[in-house]
Amino acid sequence: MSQDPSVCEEKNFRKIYSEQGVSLRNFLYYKFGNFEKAKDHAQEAFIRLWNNCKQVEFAKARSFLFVTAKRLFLDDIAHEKVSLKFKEKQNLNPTSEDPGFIMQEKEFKKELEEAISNLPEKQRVVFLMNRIDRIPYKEIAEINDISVKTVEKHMSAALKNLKNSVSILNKIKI
Amino acid sequence: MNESDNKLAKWMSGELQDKDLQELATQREIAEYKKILGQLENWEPIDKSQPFDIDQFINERQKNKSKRFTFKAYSREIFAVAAVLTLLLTFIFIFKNFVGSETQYIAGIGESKEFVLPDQTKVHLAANSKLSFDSDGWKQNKTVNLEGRAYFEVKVKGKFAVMLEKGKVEVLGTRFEVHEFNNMMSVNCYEGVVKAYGVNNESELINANESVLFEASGARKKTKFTTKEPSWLKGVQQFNNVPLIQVIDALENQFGLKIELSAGIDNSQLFTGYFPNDNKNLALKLVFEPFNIEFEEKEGNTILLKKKK
Repeated sequence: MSQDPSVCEEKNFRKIYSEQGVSLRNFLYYKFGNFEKAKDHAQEAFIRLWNNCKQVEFAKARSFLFVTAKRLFLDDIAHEKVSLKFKEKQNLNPTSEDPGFIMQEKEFKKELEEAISNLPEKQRVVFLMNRIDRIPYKEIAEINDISVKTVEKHMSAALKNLKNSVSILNKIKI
Repeated sequence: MNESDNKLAKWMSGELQDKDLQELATQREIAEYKKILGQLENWEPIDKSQPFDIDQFINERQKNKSKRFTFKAYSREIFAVAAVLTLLLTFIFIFKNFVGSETQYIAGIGESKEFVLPDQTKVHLAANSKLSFDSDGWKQNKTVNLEGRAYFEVKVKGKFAVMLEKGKVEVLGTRFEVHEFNNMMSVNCYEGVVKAYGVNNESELINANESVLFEASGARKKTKFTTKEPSWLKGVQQFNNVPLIQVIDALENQFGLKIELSAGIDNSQLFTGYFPNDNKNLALKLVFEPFNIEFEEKEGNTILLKKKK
């Protein structure tokens, strides 16, 4: 029988962390909307993984982490209103100096953030994991223990909802 | 509807082209979708940093292998424990200051101990002896309590007292040995001057190279000696005209023995000689043969002394 890498080995554990740490924290943030708690519960999930390293297969470590983190969070948080915020990597229209335009873009970002926060949790989480963290549908399905079809359903619904919510789109020249 | 769900999602992931969406969405709608997705392309989480320091994490885990613990989860308990500890420490502090603190040194059977008092006086504690003093009150009153035998090398001038059960020695000098045994006390002064008190509280001034034996009756016997320091410091015990009872005490303490004398043995006889600290049988031979005493080893480390026929 071939030897699966052991989660208990430090170098393997570090690998899991470097691959999943940030996505896990983001996932919790998207789901529950509290950044600080997302950090804490991500760490707690890793602690549980460490303590259970003998029982968890290397290939299943990611599922373990996400499931554990979800459970921890649910135990902790009553449903607070989710209000997600994001940063812009770069200025998409650096040459434009038109204040009206700049205002519009600012407004758009704000409305989009709000619309995303208001999405039903399942849609919101799946949508952001794919669009921000760039996790493919297949992996999102595994992590959340749902089918790829369901993932696709959430993705489509999310995009449609957003389009309908962001009223400013009507004003923006496309 | 399943079909349209899949198609929009597949288009989002690049699996389908714009033209594949023709039936599902208008041009305008497609443009709006693109605008939204374009925005999101440019977004990243407010904080992209790692959620925690993995090196520190692993260090912690390896340190606390058996503990399962996050500070946050247990912070209430931690603060409660800290509060109790603080209270406890406060009580201990108060207790110490009001009740006093004692420093103790103990040399077991066959052992000797060497240590230094707070005023740099060096003490050699002989086998089966105990020395204690109040470390808090040391500055005001330099007094030690001694049970057994000890040799003192006083470094700093000034009054220094050794309290025994039945006597007291005050130091005005620098090097001396005190030995209390069987209600008797012997004081040897190696250097300087020592003032010693027996049971009746009369003092005796002892100069260098003088030795005084305080007997139980109150009588004192003064003798002279020439050695520079107690022999037992070097693992050998040397005696010069010392009553047998004192030598017997030394044997008992060194080897953990109980020595019984049968009738007819006079333990006030004087002994001049030595015995090694590390050889019980040789020691017994060296001490008792000169007196024509034979010794019999009994159970429980007991030695019975009998006069030879």
